[in-house]
Amino acid sequence: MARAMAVNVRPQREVVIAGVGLHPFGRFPEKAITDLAREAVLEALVDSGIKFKDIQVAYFGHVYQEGATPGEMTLRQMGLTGIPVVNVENACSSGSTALWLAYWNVAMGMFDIALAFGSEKVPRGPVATTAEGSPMRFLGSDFMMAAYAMGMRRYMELYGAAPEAFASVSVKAHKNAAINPYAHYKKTFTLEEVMNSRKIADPLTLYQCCPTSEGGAAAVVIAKDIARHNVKDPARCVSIIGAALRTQKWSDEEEDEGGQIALAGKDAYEMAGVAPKDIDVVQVHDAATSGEISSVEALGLVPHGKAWKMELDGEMDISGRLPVNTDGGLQGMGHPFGATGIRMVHELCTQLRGEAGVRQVKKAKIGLAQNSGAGGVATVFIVRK
Amino acid sequence: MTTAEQKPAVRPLSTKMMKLSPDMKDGVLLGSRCNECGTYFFGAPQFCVRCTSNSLKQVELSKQGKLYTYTIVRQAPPGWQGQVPYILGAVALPEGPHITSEIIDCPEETVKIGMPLDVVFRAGGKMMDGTEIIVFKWRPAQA
Repeated sequence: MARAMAVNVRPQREVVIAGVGLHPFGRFPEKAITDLAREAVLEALVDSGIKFKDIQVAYFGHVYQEGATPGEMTLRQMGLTGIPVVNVENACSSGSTALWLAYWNVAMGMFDIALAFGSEKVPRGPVATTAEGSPMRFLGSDFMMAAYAMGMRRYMELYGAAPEAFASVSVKAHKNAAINPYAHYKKTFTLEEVMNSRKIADPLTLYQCCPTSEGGAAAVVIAKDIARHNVKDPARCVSIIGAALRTQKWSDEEEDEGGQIALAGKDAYEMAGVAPKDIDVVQVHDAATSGEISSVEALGLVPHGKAWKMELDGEMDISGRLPVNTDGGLQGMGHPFGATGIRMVHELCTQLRGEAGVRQVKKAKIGLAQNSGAGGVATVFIVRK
Repeated sequence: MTTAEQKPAVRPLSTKMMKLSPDMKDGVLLGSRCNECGTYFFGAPQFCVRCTSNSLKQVELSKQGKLYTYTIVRQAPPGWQGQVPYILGAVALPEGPHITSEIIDCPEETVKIGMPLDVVFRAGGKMMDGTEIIVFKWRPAQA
């Protein structure tokens, strides 16, 4: 019998995030990816109260690298403790894939305390996803933002969406990033500035394409039953109640009804025992502004064809009905590939703990994070406090 | 070095994707049809990604399709410096596959989702060793 879940198992015990850490996103020419990663890990350890010597397994998310085993090269600076360390490459979803692995290891009882971390120094300029000499390079299609733009054009055709709706995603993201000390771009833009910025791939303009960034992120996960004896403040722990990773699945449908994002979302909702209406705060993969609109629809948070209007009406602002990308998202925070997925969960923890300050969403109890990767990858995490 | 060696080499982007006429100015796109579920694919995949069968038959694909979606690329991706703007289109063939490449001979203001497009074969850049590559592109259907 076919199973709904990609993962044919159930968690054996509850797992919580004990601490999270970030290295600010931006440009840091004097630092290596191991420096960015180490600083994020140290912050997560301090936040959790867990000592490095107590970490039993670690997963490091990255796409580019500076030599082999960047995860080991980071952690060996903090102590040669002999633990298994695995380097994870899953495109822009590498960080959340590292967290998925850390979660399931603890959930299935292989280890009690795990570290997920990631960092990146993304070079400037358009991001290609294939190797030199590949067919796509000769066809002019090896361009991530062109792929987003084509999806956006199709959406506009199907639902009559106005280009201003997509631009308003960027305006909101930068408004949130401007009040986030960790963000790459702490600058606000008007709708006109976004619409009139340099065109990259019609209808996407420059300020609708996430910046290429550097940064790091980390999370310490621990079995809940041992957390109270090990963490600094058990009351600040955030439970992972849904953790899903999916790749593209064949569809006979003419229109893409959410693809792997929808599949990962369904897995996560089923595992968590919650419905889209229960979600209070959301982080999604807005590498292009159109990504936010397609993701919230794929996840069932908004009916298909409706999200663009909600963006125009400000309903996904921090004070709106469905707050999305409250920390600035990829648009405003920036996008160091290996760190981004963990950064999203960092923001959910900050919100659910009530520690988001001026960005605080009122009465947030359940949060959802969705991270995408080239090659047809999607992850979804649902967390609760 | 002989004269023959100095003549630049020319080859198709992929012999699995296209079959060219001897002068390489015309051709046809190649695809595969799954012998088990009947699904069509562009190129020559070893497996049917719909049903995972490894029994596929090579077929020639239609020369005309309809524009599914498009963008006008204005910032050059790697290898396209000096060639922007260009229109990039995903074209749906009657058999099913969507095939993405440049749309040529089409003023920007006339491109429209649903428009019929014909496949054409053109020079499409060079490999590092100087070999010229013939690629497929799309052109508004000739009445």
